Amino acid sequence: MTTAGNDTAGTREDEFLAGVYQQVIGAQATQYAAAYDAGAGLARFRDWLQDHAAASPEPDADQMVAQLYSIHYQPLVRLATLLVRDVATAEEVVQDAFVAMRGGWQRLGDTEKALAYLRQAVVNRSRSVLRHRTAAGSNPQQALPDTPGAEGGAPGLLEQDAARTALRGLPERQREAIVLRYYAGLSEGEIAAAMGISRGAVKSHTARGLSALGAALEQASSQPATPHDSDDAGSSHE
Amino acid sequence: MSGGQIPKDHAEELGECFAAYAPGLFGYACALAWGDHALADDLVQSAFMAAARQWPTLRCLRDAQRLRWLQTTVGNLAISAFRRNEAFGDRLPRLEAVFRPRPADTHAEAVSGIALERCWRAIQALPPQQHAVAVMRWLFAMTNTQIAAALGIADGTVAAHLSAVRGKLKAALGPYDPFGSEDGPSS
Repeated sequence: MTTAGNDTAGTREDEFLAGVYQQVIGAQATQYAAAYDAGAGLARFRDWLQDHAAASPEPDADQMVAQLYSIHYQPLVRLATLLVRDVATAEEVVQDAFVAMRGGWQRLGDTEKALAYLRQAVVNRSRSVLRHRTAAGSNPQQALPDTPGAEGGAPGLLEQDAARTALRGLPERQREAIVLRYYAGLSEGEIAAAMGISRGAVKSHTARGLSALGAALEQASSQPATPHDSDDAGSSHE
Repeated sequence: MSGGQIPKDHAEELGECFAAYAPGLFGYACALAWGDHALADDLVQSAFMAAARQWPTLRCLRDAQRLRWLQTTVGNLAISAFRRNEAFGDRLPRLEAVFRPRPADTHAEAVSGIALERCWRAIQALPPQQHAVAVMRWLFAMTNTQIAAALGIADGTVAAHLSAVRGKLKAALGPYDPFGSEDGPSS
């Protein structure tokens, strides 16, 4: 009889006995395998899988993102255009925002949040575009002609142009607040979320932006209009 | 976050994997569980549940690697089932019913079918801890130290169990043991 401490591992006898053991177990396993009711086993496992299946957000997500895209792409581009002042960059900004939003869809979960996220992403990306521009020293005022498209010479356009020009002159945050409020038509709460600031701050940016705009527009309408008329109206005529 | 986490495509792959490997794994589990079909069935299910949780990793493996992972998992689950279930030994009487003589094809190198059958009976008659030690040693190729750690027993106890199992196998083999009964501790 071998003693407990005397492990015969590695000897030929040990190998032989291990082989016998493996052979016996293997033979039994083969027999048992043949007796297995694979259909029932698979059905049981499928039930379990079903109980633990993910809420399969994938196809839904794609559909919802596509829907968001078709509804909000153009408005967001218009909004971004007002912020970054050229259409090509604006489209890039919005597309990037959509890509990021799609990536985080699982976390966002629904269209409401996704839209808020998109707006915020557009605002943030627009900011960084502007920051890059100032850093690069390029002059955005000249770099971009105004929005392309069918804006040939409609009557209201002069004012609109003046408003755009005035808008450009505003500080960044005021411009954002005005654009989001009056061009995108967002509520104060939505603007606060998009800009990442408080409602109170939105209020003050909007108020200051509006009064600055008003002043700028007034100036614009009094200056370049026909010099004679204004002269007539204002200064002495005898 | 918790609960449903298995994407649909993974579930399909898991179903295919199950269909391919479950019978073989069941046989293996059943042999480890001394022929207890119900326990073996549970072991297979549990192994595939574990696989489902690891599937992002497992699906990248080659088939052979995946099978090895499943076999190891079944084995480990079986061992812990032995440990948890003190009544495991009570299942022994049921074994007679499932026992069938092995097919008379391969395996007949040196040892006759009758001897192997006697070995199987000897394996079935092992106390649970000896059985666990034998499985870990000869099927999982674990070292004595690893086995001791896994079962929470002393190294010496592992060696003692192994030597007891060897003795029983030798006895079952009888004349088919090429090392003979005179191959005593003197060597």
